[in-house]
Amino acid sequence: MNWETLRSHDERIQRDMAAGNFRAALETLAQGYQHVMVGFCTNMLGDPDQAEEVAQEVFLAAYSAMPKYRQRASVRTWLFAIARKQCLKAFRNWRRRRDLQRERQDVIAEEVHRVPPPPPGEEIESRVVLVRNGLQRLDKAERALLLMRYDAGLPIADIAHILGISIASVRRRLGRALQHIREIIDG
Amino acid sequence: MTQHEHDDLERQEEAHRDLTEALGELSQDLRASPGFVTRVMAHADQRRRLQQGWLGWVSTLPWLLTGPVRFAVAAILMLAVLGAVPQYLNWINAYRMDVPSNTLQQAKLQEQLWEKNFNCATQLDRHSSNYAVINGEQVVVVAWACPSGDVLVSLESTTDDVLRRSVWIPLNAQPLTVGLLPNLVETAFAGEGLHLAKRRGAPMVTVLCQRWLPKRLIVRRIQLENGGCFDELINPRTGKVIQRRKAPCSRKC
Repeated sequence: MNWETLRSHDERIQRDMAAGNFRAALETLAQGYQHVMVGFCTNMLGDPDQAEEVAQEVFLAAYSAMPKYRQRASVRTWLFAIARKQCLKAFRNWRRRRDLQRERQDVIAEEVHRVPPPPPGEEIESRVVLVRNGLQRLDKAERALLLMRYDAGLPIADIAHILGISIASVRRRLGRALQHIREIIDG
Repeated sequence: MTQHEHDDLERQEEAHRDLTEALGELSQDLRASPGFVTRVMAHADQRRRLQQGWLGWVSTLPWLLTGPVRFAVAAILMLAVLGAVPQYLNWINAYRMDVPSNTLQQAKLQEQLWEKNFNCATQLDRHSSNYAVINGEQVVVVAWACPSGDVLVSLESTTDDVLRRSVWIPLNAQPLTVGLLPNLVETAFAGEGLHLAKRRGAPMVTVLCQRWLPKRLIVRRIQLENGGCFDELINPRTGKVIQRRKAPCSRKC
């Protein structure tokens, strides 16, 4: 993720929000973060179609929250906090669909386990598939944590701000989440 | 944060480097579909229009958003909520006593009268109670006066179990108390239906014993004039005989 490119977006977004040009801020925000948010929501929910809908809701929720934005956190941290909330909300709303999805993912994961070890060149790709499937079987709080840290590359301090907990707690939870996903993948 | 905690995560990350690298690859091939931003903007505009539709009138009346008006609205709402507290308590108490909320006061009064005259009610016997028979002897009303001045009115029906009940009329009876009895009895006691009542030589029931049960219910053993004995389960709040079953004719409940 190229955060340096997004930094100029963030400055423009903050300027627009401070001036009350919320529509312009939303446009810049959506242009800059559309792929990041769709990626985060897809990995959180495990369903690309649903993820795009939820990503839209993330931007609309951000649009509604813009008047209250006080620049205590960076635009990126603020947006991820909203995205995490929206994904958890989607989990609650579509619990039944999620369960079905999980069952399907379990089947996929089992199939993946049956596949013989890949040739050396394909090893990384195969590992990504395993991790993606393993992620869907992980507790959703731990899933969000791993995605924010290792996929989105958020600093631990930002994650602590999003979750409202201490940096030490984030580090402990990250360690546990890594162990859990390892246990899931290794069966 | 201790150095140990700091090192711990570093060690975990090192041990699971393959996983952290794979996690870093997850979103690389995930892209928003073409037109995503346009759709977001369209939805945002649509929502803004809807909000303006619902709340647009507020912006035409800016005084509605001023501090004093907000305070006044909050105060009115709070007063409305606080003012309704007695009603809420009434509903809660009625629910706990298992009676309709509009008869709560009467139910409390009836319970108090049962407690006050409990021993007297036990002494009801066939030789000294007064009674009246109305509606062609299908309904029998027994009135038992206690030294306190309160009167226990027991309604016996040979045909209708629902009509069976025992209600106290306090010395300083309010019309509402009498209203607890079915209209039939109310009219009889008000004198309007006296032409239906007639005197007989002996009363219908004798109370052998009675006691309080858990949940504030009363079990009363009665002997009918034909010699049969029954245990009656009475709700003292409504006076209603909830259950009647055959029992031995002993004075131990």
